[in-house]
Amino acid sequence: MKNNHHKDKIERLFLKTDLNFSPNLSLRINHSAAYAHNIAYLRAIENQLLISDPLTEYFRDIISKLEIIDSHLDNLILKIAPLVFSNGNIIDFSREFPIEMKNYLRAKKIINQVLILLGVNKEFLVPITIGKKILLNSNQIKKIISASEEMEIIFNNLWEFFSKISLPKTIKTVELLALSENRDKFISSRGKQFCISNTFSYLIRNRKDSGYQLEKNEYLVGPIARLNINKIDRKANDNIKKTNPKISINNLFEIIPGRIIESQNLLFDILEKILNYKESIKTKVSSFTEIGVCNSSDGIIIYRVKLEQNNRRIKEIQIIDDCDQNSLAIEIFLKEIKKTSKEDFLFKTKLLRSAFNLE
Amino acid sequence: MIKEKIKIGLFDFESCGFCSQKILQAFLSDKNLCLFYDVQKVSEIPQKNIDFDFLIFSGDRKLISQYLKRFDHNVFKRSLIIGNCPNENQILETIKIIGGCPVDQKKIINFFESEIGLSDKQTDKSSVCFHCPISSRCLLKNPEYFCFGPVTIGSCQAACLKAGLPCSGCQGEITAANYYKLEEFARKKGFETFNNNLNIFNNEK
Repeated sequence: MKNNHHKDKIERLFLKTDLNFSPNLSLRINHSAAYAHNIAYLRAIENQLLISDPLTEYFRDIISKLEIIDSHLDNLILKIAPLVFSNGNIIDFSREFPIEMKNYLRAKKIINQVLILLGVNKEFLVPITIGKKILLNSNQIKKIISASEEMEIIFNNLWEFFSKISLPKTIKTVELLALSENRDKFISSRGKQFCISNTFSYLIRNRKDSGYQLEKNEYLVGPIARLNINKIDRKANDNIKKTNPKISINNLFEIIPGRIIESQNLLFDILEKILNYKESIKTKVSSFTEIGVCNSSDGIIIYRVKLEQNNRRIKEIQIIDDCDQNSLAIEIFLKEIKKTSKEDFLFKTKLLRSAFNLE
Repeated sequence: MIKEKIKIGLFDFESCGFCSQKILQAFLSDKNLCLFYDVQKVSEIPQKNIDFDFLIFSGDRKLISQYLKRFDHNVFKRSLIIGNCPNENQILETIKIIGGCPVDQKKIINFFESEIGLSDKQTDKSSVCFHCPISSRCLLKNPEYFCFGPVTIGSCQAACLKAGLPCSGCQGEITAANYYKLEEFARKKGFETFNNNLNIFNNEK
């Protein structure tokens, strides 16, 4: 749900409230990315107040990943599945496919149970507050591990369920703009896009019977792209500028299998993080900017917050939602994040604009 | 003979969309509701209610009631407002309201089950303090926080307090809420933004 009017109203409400109370508001902007909004907002404030806690950031990372899985589940079962299988009627779909519906409700419950262990609650939107520390004991870690195993089974069943559909061959050709360092992602002239050659080879290896026939086209598009403009392959980009290569893409992949694959990968990431609980605490957190950023299911969320002198209330706030078409805000974001050379700045602006479908 | 299903139209008024998702989940998770009701999403703003037995408006309840005020009450006779999003404007006229931001799924199930005569469960209307796990070290005594627990419906089972945070009043006010007393207490504590925080979830003095 991208509702700018609703967002503007909450932006205004931010200016009146107490700083301890305001994390509640960030949760009410977009339900599918409630905690991503909350985390981006808190990061913006904490960066200004110079509060940084690596352990809290570690858990916030897990929470935001869980929310992306939650959002993908909603999209798959509440939006896409009824459209494909029962003419858009959700109640009919639940009657025709009760096992899938049960799996969905169970998965939602598991996600909420894990979130409760991490100190938040998606059902009643309990906020994460400024500088709040989260700690886990061995029992809780065991519970999270068993929950993620159950989730894996649910996603495997979902994969089998959705592989009944064969994807139509809607292939477009687009201009390539930049490649990432690992060459597993790219940005093209038509919005944010990415290449999942690694996951695609995994797909061919493990799921030979699936209905997804994409032929030899490995390049795919969609909102599940995770953009990082700081990791760009410079040498490859010089060649791209000279040759202007064109590639073919399939933008329907992201709607179903892309989301399932991403969710499975995120589950694996969470499990790995939980298993390395003590080791991963050492990581450092950057500080002193007015900006906070967080990944969400459809892209990135950016918060720009200025505090009053007494640090009790908010003086200015600007929220950029994950699909916001606000080019000016992106430019401000770029300027403040890094003071780079003119050429580099122009190049990054171009990339970001194309990633937000502005050009 | 099987009776015809009760038709429900769902229109998502200006909101983040969580209310409509909660309503759908309520109908999907409850077997009885799934059998007796049929839910359909409405894409355009309804001008009157002819097609549906029940018309649900989800989202900001003050904005919805502001919209419904333009029409004659008979036009939206069997309508329901679900939701309680933050809003600054102060106009309120009720048709039937299930409040809360986010709204409690059990409240929706109870309402629609009682409509078809399946259950007459009454929703919990006791305050958050009734469910609060930290009764000995009340957050009202903590100088850093201000808790809206005493005047808020505890249908959330004090979820925020269980996570160690004060209540923000998101589930709506109890019937006998004494805001004047609470405001007096807030002033003594040096909590200046009491009224602003109160308005966020459409609670009224």
